[in-house]
This record gives sequence, structure tokens and C-alpha cells, in this order.
Amino acid sequence: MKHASSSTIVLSLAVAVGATLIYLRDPAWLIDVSSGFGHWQQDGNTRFRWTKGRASFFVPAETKLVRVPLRARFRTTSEPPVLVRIDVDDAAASLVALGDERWTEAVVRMEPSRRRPRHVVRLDLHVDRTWGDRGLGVQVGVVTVE
Amino acid sequence: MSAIDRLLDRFVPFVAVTALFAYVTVYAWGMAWPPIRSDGFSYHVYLPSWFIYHDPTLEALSRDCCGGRFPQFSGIYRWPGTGRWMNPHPMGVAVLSMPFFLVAHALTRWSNLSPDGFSLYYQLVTAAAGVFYLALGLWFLRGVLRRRFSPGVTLATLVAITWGTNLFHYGTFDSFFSHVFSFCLFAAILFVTPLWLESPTLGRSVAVGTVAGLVVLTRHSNAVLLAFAALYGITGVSELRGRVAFLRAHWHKALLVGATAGLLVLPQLVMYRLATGQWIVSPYGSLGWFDFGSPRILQVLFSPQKGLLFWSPVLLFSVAGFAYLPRAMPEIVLPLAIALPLDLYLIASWRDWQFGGSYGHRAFTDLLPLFAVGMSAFFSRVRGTRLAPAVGIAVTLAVALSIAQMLQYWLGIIPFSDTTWDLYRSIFLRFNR
Repeated sequence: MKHASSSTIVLSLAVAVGATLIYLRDPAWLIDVSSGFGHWQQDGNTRFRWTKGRASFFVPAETKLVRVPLRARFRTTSEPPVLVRIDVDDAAASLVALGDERWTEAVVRMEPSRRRPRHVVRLDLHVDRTWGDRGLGVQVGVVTVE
Repeated sequence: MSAIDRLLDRFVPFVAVTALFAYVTVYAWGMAWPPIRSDGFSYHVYLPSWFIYHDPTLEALSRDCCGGRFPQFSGIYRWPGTGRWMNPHPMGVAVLSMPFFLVAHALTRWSNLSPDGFSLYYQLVTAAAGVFYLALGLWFLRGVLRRRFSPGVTLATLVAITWGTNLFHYGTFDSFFSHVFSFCLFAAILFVTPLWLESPTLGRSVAVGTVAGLVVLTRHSNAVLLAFAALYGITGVSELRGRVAFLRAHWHKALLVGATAGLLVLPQLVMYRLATGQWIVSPYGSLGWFDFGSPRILQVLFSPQKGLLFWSPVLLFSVAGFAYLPRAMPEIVLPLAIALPLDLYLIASWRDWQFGGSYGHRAFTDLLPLFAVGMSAFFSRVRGTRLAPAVGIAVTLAVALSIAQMLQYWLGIIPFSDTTWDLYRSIFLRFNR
């Protein structure tokens, strides 16, 4: 009897773990998950978030084009451009050099071959240097997709 | 089995469930974010460095997470002379939370989240290690207390230590600071040391060595508390002679304890050597130092800023109980009389005696197993006397006050540091900002 109940518990746990893993493979809420960003801020009419050295977010898998508004900040005018590399599902997709403090739009074309059988695709921003004591990277405006 | 026995059996699972609930609530309600923050960031960086970037020097991680330099709050700095990264926080917390990190890493890969060591699952799963070590530490402490005290006294002590101090806070809200890990390790030292002295088997020798090594690896200054384990059971000259004879008879097992501890600490020394060119260094460098000439003993014990007994008044019963230990638990009187004042002096001599932001004085969270023994001795002494009802009411009020103040801290009403008496009075039991 005891052996049977132990087996039931182990089997139930295995089923629960399996079901959880299947669910976590491609959950719908991933589209709202981001990391490496600060809180939303407002500068005039522009909403933006600071990144850290690395930040990531998701877009729908059927997306063909992603527009990412970027802005760097500089202490002096003699500083070299800030480089931002954008990866799509860990493959390099775009490299942007931000030479001044104006907003620049990075355009990432999503190649069909890169798409995976999931509902979302992950984009990672890698900033080559950070700014200030809190280790801020670049400002990212509202991302648009087509 | 009595009702008290049944309650005692269910105490640790109950704490585990309530701590997990509190942990989830803190982040679901946005009281704090991310779980790996402040000092926790520096305790954590070893794990992504080892398992994702395969670079123990922290160089590759610094480039990817932080644009080539760690944020100032982390305290990680370039060692003068070598220019290599030096982390003032040792690797013990990372070692202890490694299984949680590996689960988080596997889930991250599985769900295609960013495999950078800091995205969602790393934050939530790895920092939940604190909940686990809170429960494990209480399990060890329960075993320690039950050897000498009744189920009722043990249960009352566990409740008072868990919620009458900042222990629950450091197992949930600030779960990735080192303190709950150190609490667990001290409880484990108290648990395994008498077992080893009773019968120094191979397994027990490795266990004592492992715990001792992890104590040092988690917080270097806690090495002074290993004196506690070394002196455990010595109550006089004849016991001292007996201990010497015991160590002579079991020298190979004692060597195994030392070798196991040394093996665990070795990777940390190698990292110091890589970073600085020296094996033994003060990892804080110029960031912090001890001021042994003017220890702030009164401030760390009684001040509204961070005073241990001000913020955890239930520990007054522990202090009172130390007087009863010669009868209740004589084997720990000498080690306690040496280790506790020594650690108090160290804590009070640290340049920033408030230890930065914290709920209560966080440096003492590590020592709560020792305070628990004193508290049990006190409860045992007053049990069945006319004082018992008054003590029961006082303990209940102290625990309730501590829980209320912990919630105030979580809600941002009690500040991280520098609380003055005037400020304390103005926010006393206030829950709106």
C-alpha cells in the first residue's frame, strides 16, 4: 500500500514537471518579458528606458521588421561612438554606432530562417560601454514592429 | 505524540511555505526588484562567470553585462597594480546557490530567455535559494535545541527567532544577501560538531570540514566563529586534556576535517591570487576597513539606527538566557564566551557599523543560532514559574512588533539606514507613507 502511494506521488510529480516544462517552452506571457532595462521615463514627447550593458525583449515571431529608437549620452564631445549590437535569438543581426546624442533608429530585418517554432523571437542589445555610477547603457524608445 | 510535538514537526515545512509565499508576494506586488540586487549582485556574479562565460576573472561577464565595468553599487573594482577585477564579496553564496542557478539556466535555455545570468529565471529561481537555506537552517537548529530542551521550549524559540528577529526578512525580501546562508551554516556547525566529537566517522569528518569551509567561503570574518566548533564541549582543564587526547587518537580524522575545509576555500584563494598576485588579501581593499580603536558597541546593540536589541527586542531573552547556560548547556559556555564577544567586537569595529542598508542589524543574523540556544535556556528556566505568563506575553508582543516593522521596511516606511529616534517615533506602527 505504502509502495503504491509512493509510486503515485512520484508519477504525479513527474507528470506535473513534464506539464510545466511543456508550458514553459513557449508561454504567451513571454512577449511582455524584458530584462536589463530601467523604468520607463519621459523626455518631452519621447518615452524611453535606459538599458544596462545588456538588455533583451521579445517580439512576435511573425515580425518582419523591428525599429529600435536608440540614443547614447556622452560626457564630452571627444568620446568615440557608442556601439550597440543587436542579436536575434543569439545571432548577430545589426550593429549601430551612436556618435552623438540624437535619436537613431536601428532597423532589424527578421530573416525567416532565423525564426523558430515559437510565438516570440528574442532580441538582445549589447552596449559596448556604460555610463555613470549605475552602469547605464543607452536609451531605448518605444520599439515598433511590422 | 503530543500536540506540541506535532506542531514542532510541522514548523519547518510551515516556515518554508510561508517564506515562499512572502518571497512571491514581495516580487508580485513590486515591493522590490530585482531579487539579485545590491550585495546580492556581487555574490551572484561568480555563477554566470563560471557557467556561462567560462571566465573566472569576471572580465568577460563585465563586458557583456555591464559594458566593461561593474556598477558602483556592486563594490567590484579593479585591483591596483594588476588591473584585474576584485570582488569584495566571497564565493560561498554562489557555491551554495549553484543548484538553483543551474535549474534557472536550464529553464532559461528551454524558454529561450536571455542566457545572460540576470534575466527572469536567474533572478527568481536563484534568489529563492535563500528560502531553502532559511528552512534548512531552522531544521538544523530544531535538531540542536531538541537535544537539550523540551518540544515546547524548542518551538517557542524557533517562532521567536524566525519572526522576532530579521531572520525571516533575510530568507525572503533580501534572500540573496549572505546572512541567511551563514545562519544555516552556523546552525549546521552546532548540529554536526557534537556528532563528530561523539563519533568522528569519515562521513562526519567530511561534513564538519564542508560546513567549516563554507562558513569561511561565505563570509571571511565569520572564520572567528570556527573557534566555537574547536572549543565545543570544553568546560575545564580536564576536558581540555581530554580534547587533546581525542585529537591525538583521531588525528587522521581531524586532518580530514582541515583538508576538506581547505579544499573548499582553495578556489577563493586562487581567485585572489589571480586578481592581486597574493594568496591572502583584504578583499575590500580601500573600500572598507576595521577601526579597532573605537568599536561602536553601544550603537550596534542599542541604537535606533541599527541596534540589534532595539530592532529585535526578543533577543533580550537570549542575553538573559546566557546566564543559565552553565546548567542548561555547559558544553557551549566557553566557546560562546569567546566567539560571541569577539564577533561583536569585529562587527562594532567595521568602518560602516550599520552595514549599509538593512532591516535591523544584518551582521548578527549569522549568529542567531547562538542566540537561540540562550533563548531556549531562558525559556526552560522560567517555564512553570510565576514569570512564565509575563514572558509569554512579552515574547508575543516582541514578535508581533518585529513582524509589523519588517512589513514597514518592505513598504518603504522604515528607511534602509540612519533611522533616528525622532523618525522612529513618527513612523511607529504606521503603514501609510
